[in-house]
Amino acid sequence: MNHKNVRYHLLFLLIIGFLITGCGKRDDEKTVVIYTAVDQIYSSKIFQLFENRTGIKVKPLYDTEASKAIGLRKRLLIEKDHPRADIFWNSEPLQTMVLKSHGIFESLNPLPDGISSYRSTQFFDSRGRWFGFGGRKRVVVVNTNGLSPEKFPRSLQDLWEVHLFGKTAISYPFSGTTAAHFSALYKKMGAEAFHALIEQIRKSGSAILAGNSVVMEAVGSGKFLAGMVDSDDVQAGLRQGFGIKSLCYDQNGSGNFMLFGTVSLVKGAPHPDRAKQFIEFLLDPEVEKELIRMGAFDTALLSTFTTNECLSWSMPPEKILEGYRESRSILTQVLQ
Amino acid sequence: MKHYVSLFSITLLLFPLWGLSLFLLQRKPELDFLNGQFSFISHSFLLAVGSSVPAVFVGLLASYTVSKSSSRFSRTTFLSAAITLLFIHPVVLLEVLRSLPFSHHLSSFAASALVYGIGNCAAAMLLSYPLFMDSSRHEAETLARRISQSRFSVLFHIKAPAIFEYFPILIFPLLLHSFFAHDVPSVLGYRTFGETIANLLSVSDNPDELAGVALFAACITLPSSIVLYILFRKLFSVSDTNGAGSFPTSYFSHSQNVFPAVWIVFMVILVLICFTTLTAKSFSSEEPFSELFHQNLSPIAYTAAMTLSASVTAMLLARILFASRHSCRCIPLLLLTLFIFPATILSFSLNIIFQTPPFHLLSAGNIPLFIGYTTILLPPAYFFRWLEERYGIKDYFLERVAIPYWKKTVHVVIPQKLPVWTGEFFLLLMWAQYQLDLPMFLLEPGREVLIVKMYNLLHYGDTASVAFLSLIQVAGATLFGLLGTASFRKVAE
Repeated sequence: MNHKNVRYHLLFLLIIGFLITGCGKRDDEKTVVIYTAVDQIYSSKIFQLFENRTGIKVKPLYDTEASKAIGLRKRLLIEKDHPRADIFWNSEPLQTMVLKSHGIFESLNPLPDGISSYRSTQFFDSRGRWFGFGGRKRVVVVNTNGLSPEKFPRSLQDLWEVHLFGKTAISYPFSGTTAAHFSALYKKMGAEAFHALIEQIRKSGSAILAGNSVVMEAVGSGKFLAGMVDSDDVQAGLRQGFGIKSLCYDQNGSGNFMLFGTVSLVKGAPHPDRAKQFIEFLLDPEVEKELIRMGAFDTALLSTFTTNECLSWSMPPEKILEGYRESRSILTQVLQ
Repeated sequence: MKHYVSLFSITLLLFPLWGLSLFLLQRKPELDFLNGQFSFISHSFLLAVGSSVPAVFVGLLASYTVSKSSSRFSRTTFLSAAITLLFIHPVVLLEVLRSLPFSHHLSSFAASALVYGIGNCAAAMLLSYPLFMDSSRHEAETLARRISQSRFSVLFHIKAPAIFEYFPILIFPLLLHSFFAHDVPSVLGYRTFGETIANLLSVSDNPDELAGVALFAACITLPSSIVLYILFRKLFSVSDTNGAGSFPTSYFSHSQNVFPAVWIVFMVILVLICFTTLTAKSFSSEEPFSELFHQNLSPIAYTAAMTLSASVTAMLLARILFASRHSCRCIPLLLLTLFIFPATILSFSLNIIFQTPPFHLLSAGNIPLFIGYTTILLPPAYFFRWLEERYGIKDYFLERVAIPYWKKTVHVVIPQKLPVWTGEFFLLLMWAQYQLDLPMFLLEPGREVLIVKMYNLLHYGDTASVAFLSLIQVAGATLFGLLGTASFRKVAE
């Protein structure tokens, strides 16, 4: 390769460089940067509403189901010293608590007006580092073609009973909403009973798959007959035409476990005032209802509105985090 | 000037490794996470072998057979079909597979191996086709047939050595690519090493444990890359002495037989199955196509701009690096290490670099993703540059011809190397478009890439939109394939 040749290549590279760096929009417009793990199909509509109402342009960064929020969580941790995000809007509370423990979030002071609408004080942080938003229930999903109604599980333990040995699936219990569910179960049941439950899961030959949507598809396609997923996964399965049904369980006891999304202001956010405006906007009960009508969540925290009548229980996210740290050794020991 | 560019390219290659070193030096890596994880390495190994070895063999055989075909239509159809199959994302191909009646009988392993196998086979066809268009090889076959009159003699003495010559060269990149693949296995619930790494990264909030994961990946990839380097060096040296120039022979006289037609019909059927399934799924959308296109225009345009520019840049940088290979012998080793390093950890390392002063000033805009794509594409681009070297007139012959550089380029270099460049460019483009980890860590807020959008739509259950987006990608690839091969034919004639 002679020098003339190299010069041609350099010219090409320079042109490409200019094109790429020139592709970026100028950042002087009124924007707010939001990292969100809430499904894009729903959150994008809320961003549109916010833009129409305030004139502030949202620059979202979406997560993927495949990544199970690692992208956003790791990005927030790596970007701690030079934050780019203003808001972290998460679809579940456990990762939010992990990030909170790393000092990623700013206290909102004074607290937004919207908190007066909360049904319970366990749905927000009194120091304003996170606010709960949109509840969804963990449900049992069954294949209606492969399992007759009389054999449907009525309790969580039924899922791993003899007649379903080798025919059930759960998602990887170390991440996502399954991790939050198991952590809450640990705190609720205590170490000994939790160990017995995990041992029962192992003995039943329940498959451990990569994510809730994978579990739903495996049940929908008939590979397994039942599984444990989130209520929105069942909605996605029904849209794909699978013969599946979502079941309430433990209705004579405490009911289904419910978890909820959170919204937080990032410490050192480049646009804190606009971020606060977004949090105020999101904590409007009407916005929450809109998301529930779309199918992103099924139970409101800011009103009594719900599309899922199952009896349910919940737990403060701080306790779920405690359970997560304490239950990992049991899960690792028994399931791996 | 060349040395400065080489230095820049090497800096680019060192970026992720530097980020990784920075992270590891600040931590005490913990390796406790390894308990019970080794079975997933064997899963990955099985998947890599199952999806690469038969696929590369079939791809080479098909490519060799069709390269001898006298019909231009057959050759154009063959190459276009290979490009089309290569451009269907594995997860979309899985959706197509699932709509076929026999798919329910396939295990997770078999389905994963089949999906990656189709892609690997298409890649092997596309890469080996220009190599087989060698006049001396076809003359030798014709002579052997006339002398011995035995099909077996031709098979054992001409065909088999040709296929086995390229088999080790093509098998390694595809084998490694399949080894770290985790998109299809994660959808099917088949636990692999790549997926395990992603899970470990997601589970752990302990930096020392994360450092352990990164160190473990480094411990696997570094020795592998040294072994590969030794192997490739041997192959490189064979190339330097044995790679005599050969001219494209699309107009060469060839034997007429039914075998090329069998391959072409088989491939066209495969492409038609994909097209009809994707079209049928697209039509199930409640929204009109114009609306779907309008909704997705931004990610389509952004993905195209980023991947096209990164592919071209990587191709150019690879050429400069290749020219400097004798002055800096560490380049191939460095490239191999990067090539086989899990993309999740590379992306993570690049993000660390872009948060470290003074590079944090570059973190705004599209620069991190562009650099990320270019860094990931450089190793395969370098590998293709080496393949290119085996085909056509050598640069040092051209340098001795006293005519202007542009004339040599227009009249000799472009006609000769266009098929290799086309194949190389499409493979790099595909490689970039399939990267899910890079956008996760380096994407500019407010931007979207197609792969992330498709994953999100799939999770929502909107298979119609995913099929529509894939159809656009695949139709574009087919069109490019047809135009590319047709234009090459004109130039060659």
